[in-house]
Amino acid sequence: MDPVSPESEKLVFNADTVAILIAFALGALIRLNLIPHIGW
Amino acid sequence: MSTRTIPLPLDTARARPLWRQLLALIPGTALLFGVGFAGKGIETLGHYLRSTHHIAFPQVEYVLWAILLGLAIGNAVRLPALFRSGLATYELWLKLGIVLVGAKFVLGDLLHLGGLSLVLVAIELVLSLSVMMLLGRVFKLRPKLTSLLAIGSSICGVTAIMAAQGAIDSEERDTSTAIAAILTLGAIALFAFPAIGHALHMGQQSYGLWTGLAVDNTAEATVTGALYGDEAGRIAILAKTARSSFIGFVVLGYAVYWASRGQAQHVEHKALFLWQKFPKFILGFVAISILATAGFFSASQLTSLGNLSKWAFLPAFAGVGLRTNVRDLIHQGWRPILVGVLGEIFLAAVTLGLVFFATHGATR
Repeated sequence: MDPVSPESEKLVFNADTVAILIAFALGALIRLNLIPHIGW
Repeated sequence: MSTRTIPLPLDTARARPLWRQLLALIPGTALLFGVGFAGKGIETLGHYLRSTHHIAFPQVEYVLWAILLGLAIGNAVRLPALFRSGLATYELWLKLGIVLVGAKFVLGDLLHLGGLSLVLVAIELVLSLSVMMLLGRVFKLRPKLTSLLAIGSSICGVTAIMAAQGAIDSEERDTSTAIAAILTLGAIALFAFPAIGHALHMGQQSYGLWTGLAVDNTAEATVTGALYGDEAGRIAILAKTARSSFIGFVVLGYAVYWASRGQAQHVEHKALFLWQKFPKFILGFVAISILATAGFFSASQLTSLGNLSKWAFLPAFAGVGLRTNVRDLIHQGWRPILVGVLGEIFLAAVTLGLVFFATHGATR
């Protein structure tokens, strides 16, 4: 089997766009208190 | 044709339906999260064992655990191709973490530190491009390989090299060699920079700035910063994103240069080219920071967003370890690596000096 090398693999979506969309979706959920707290 | 995109391999999964392509992401993504969470779990376990049972468990941060676990797995076993698609999502988690960490910067800090970073980046760019081109000539590297190494070391590593590949019509072997050299140097930086930072008793801000300016790849710069502390990690991200914003200009410069020599396509629409190469996630990072500054989120909500960014970075850190294959790096030949090492040592020393003078000036 081929060794895994993520550098040779292209994502099927635009990572920049999806990252921004997820961040804003999570931000909205937190702002609306639908996610009350995220701990660490 | 004004611009070119990197051609996909013929055996790419593009022909498959979208739901199958998304399904194929699951195994590798699960591995990224598994390794990342295991790193966090080991840190928590270590804290528990030390504080409750007084067991001398190594006091190592979750960042390093995630990388070490990833390195161990990636190099001890040959992961099946099943994991390939999902492992590539480390880029998504990294960018998500960077966008979310925008919540930890108020706009004033962003403008102050970002502005300082931009000035330092401009100086760093000129020096690193010049030195890498000089070293490439001295060690008789192929001219386009030298261009790729210069682009990779001056801007943002693998992303910049991939962006330049299509623009300057470089050969596949030059691209893979340049990427291997940059990844090797990134792996060295992970361990060397924190050691140097501690030896020089650097502050969080100085170290973060230095890391963002000197470490090439965004993932490695983020990790190298985080290994020193939370604040250093955030400052490293800020400096690195400032550096990444130059990607279009540098790649365009090289594209125009090689086109003038008849060895690449002409770039007709330069503004469009710059926009296409600009890393868009930086806009998300700035937008979240603006919202945070405008009081859109409460203090506890900002804390939650900051914590979310840490969770997003976990799989990205794991990805840094998993994708670093020591055997592959060794087999790339010594000359590009040597050029890279010499260039990076110079770059690290110069940026350290720049940061020292910049932060000294700021505190007066």
